[in-house]
Amino acid sequence: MPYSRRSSLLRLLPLVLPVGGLFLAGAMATFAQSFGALSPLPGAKISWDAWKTLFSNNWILSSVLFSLAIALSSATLSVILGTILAWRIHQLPGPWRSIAMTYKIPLILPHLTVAYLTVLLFGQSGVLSSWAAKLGWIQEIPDFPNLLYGGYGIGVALAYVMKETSFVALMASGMLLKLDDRFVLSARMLGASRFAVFRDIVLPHLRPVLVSSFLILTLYALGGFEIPWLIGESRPQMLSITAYDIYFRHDLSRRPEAAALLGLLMILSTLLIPLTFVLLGKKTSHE
Amino acid sequence: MNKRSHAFTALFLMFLFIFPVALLLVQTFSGRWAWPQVLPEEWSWRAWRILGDQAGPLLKSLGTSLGYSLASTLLSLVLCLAPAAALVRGDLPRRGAIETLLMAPVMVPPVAFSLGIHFIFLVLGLADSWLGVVLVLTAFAYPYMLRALIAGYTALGEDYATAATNLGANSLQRLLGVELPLLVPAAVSGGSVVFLVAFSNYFLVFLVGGGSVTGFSGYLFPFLSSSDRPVAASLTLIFLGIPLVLFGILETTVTRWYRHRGMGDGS
Repeated sequence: MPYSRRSSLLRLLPLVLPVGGLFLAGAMATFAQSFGALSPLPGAKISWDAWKTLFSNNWILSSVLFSLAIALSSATLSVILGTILAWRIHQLPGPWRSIAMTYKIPLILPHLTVAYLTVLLFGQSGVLSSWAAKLGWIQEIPDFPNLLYGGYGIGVALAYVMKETSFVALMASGMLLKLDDRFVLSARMLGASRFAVFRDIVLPHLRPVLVSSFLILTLYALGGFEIPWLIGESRPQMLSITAYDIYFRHDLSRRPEAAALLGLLMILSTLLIPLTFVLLGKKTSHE
Repeated sequence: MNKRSHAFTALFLMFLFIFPVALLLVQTFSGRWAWPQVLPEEWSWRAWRILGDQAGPLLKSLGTSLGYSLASTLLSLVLCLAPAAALVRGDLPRRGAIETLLMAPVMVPPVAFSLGIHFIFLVLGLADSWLGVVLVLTAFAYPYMLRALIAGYTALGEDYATAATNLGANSLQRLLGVELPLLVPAAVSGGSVVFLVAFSNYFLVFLVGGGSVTGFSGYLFPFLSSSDRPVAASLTLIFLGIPLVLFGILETTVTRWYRHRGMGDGS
């Protein structure tokens, strides 16, 4: 007995009221603050100034561009590695496949932990550096490239890739289970190379999942806090840390700038999220 | 592909993902470990002894984390039951859009919305409070529960509810006596993810909890940025181990409970 329209809508209320209200009120407060409202300062005026600053202040602008670059590059690399990983695991025969399930470990690692592991592995005196010295490739600690604090954000990007490759592999594995093996078999029998099978059958099948994973990861890295908070550099700085710093650590008159920055992030995610779900919901042509 | 290449792939993957955990383990027992040694020159229990001395505050922060994580999990369950049922069985206009909207918090960059929510909490007096932490964690993590319950309700179908109604059960009896027990596997799988997200979160607890609610992630943070790598590594292992242990316990108890009640193997 399906519920009536009225009772169905009523049943949504437990989530819509508290959670929807929280997000909506939070977003409205942020936008209001970006225009100078809700300020505890006496004589604060309503104005566009913060939004103008957003696009004229070099420090903020470079932080936005830097975050975009880190987010896009780490998401791209995660999607590439995760896809290869999922396909290799999918091809493994049963017993080996269960061993390969260790790929799920990073899924349960908290972001803080992954950031810490990045330091242990890729730091200038880290594990890889020790190995390089044992192999005679480098002589001293400074010979190892300064990945973490070299000014390119490589450490933060590496941490995201370590964490998110498994996420992509998980999403892609689910999709691969739906791939009809007969496509692969007949292609192989008709003489397609392994690479051709991957390029012409597997990739098109995975495309919706890969594109949506890419969007999810880009958004996450854009607004993620833990990893840059622990191992990020102060110059150039990730957007989430910049917003946090301006919001809490500078004087109150600059709070509208932080709010505008957050507002920008909200607009971006509001545009990208529905797109992601549309892609995720899309059926593949084989079905 | 031949057998050897499969074995190579599997073992390589295992190495790739187990190595970081093994590295943490070695690090916790390291005494002197100078660059460029591949293994520590001296082994030591020092890190674990320090944790032993710190047992009081350590356990307190763990207890706090467990408390707010479990509370968020339960709250998510309570909040999601009716909406999940409505999404599966209800007559909703634009069902897809509603579902997208309700799933959205999981993809929102946390920083973007949480500072605004923090502001609202300041106004409501929920900032720096335990309840505030539970609410904000729930707001960002409930979609995992919602998705699991939607799957649960879909698999359950409506026959049990119809049968119970025909036998005279009211809606509360139907929910508590019939459907909820059958939804336990879905609730457990959704709840595990909600718990994990809440337990491993640092930023939201740090922001909304302020100085008054310090979970394990907040306790851990200064150690991670310190130079005492063995202590940081041992705390990290605890951070990783606790959810694993909990999931293990949950898995066995749920399975047993189901067998006991004669409801299949819980899968």
